[in-house]
Amino acid sequence: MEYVNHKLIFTSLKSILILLTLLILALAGNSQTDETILYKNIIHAEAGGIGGYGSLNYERMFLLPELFSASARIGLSTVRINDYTTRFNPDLLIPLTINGFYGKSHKIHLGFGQLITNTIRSNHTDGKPIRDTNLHTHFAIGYRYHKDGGRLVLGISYTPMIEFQETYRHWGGVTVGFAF
Amino acid sequence: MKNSIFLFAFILFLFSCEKNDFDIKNLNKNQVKALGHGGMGIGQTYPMNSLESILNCLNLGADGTEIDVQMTKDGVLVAFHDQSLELSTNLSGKIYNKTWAEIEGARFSYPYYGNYQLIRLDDLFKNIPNQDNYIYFLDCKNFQPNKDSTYFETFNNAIIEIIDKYNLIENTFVEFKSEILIQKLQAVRPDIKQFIYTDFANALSLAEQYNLEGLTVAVDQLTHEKVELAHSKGIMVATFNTHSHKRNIKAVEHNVEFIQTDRVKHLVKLLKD
Repeated sequence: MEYVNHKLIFTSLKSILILLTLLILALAGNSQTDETILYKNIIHAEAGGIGGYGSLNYERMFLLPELFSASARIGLSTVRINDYTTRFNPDLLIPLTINGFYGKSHKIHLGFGQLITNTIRSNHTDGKPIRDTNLHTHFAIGYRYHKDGGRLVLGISYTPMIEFQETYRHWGGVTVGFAF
Repeated sequence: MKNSIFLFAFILFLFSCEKNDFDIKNLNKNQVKALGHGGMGIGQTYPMNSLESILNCLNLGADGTEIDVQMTKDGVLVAFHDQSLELSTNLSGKIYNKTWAEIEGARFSYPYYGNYQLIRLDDLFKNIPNQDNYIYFLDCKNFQPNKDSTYFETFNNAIIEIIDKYNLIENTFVEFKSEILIQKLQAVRPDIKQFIYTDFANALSLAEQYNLEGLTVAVDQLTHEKVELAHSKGIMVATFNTHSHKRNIKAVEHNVEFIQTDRVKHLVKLLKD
């Protein structure tokens, strides 16, 4: 069981890295001038969404021809800070997402990615806390407001997930961000 | 304006310092025991009856916990609340129709991304440090529709085995909903302390008839008079459904002996401060 889990994690991580690399390489040759979007870096907070209850994220925008753009995002979230023994031992949730956008100031977006969770549970053999790492596929379909040259980013998304690559769950989130 | 702010702050300070002084009179040396409801309770960040939930509750200073108990087809006791697995795990079906091997590793559905798993009662007690320091209510969920003598015998033997293995006779109360189950356990082990869990009138009558330790009634069905009536007959009272601070306070004011709360932290603070 453990072996299968790790194998799955490494395979999925490898796929994400390859996808991210390919996307960045592809976009590097197609970069537009800075006339379209001045700020390509976004820090945003998402309530709900891919990080579960909420997450803090960094997103890098990549410009594509016409009204298209894309982004790669990495975030950080937690479910609880202390474990069941009441000691500081936070659960870690790391959303990794690739998004494609269409639109000028008002954009629709489509994305997918993996959520890496590193959470605490008890070992049923000795009751001690142990960390489990798992992957969960997610998708994102939504709307985003980000005016050219503007610093405010607002968004709302439907973010369904396949928890433990097994159970489909409906979920959603609201984003507020700052571009720089 | 400045004075108003000071006055407001002062009032706020007074309220924050408010202390609940309870005049507790009950059959448990005038003490109310704070128990978790399946550990941390309904709607908390750990799923009810998971090892994590129960250990968290005990680590927060509770006097003990209620645990829901069901039995698999092959006679293994499992800590689980719902009638069907699909209500709160990634599996489906009824526990009494499955063997332990079929449900071992079942994962609770909530909270999202938690990898908390179903646990056998034996493993649960094995992992509680100093088990005999705590109080346990074993809430027996006998959902099996056709209970014959073999079922009663297997269930009772499994309960007895756990109680004896972990030396829990002094601090464990077995909760049943039906008369037949009370009779069957009492017939083989009269020393095991039992609570009846049904509506107040019925529970009181059965508790008297079988000389039980106590009865368990939801807090919204309790009144001060009902608790006094039970106490006058030497019957202790446990309550549950205290899923708010207000209900915790209400339950303490009723002078019950045991509260199986969904707000563990609050009740522990309320009773131990």
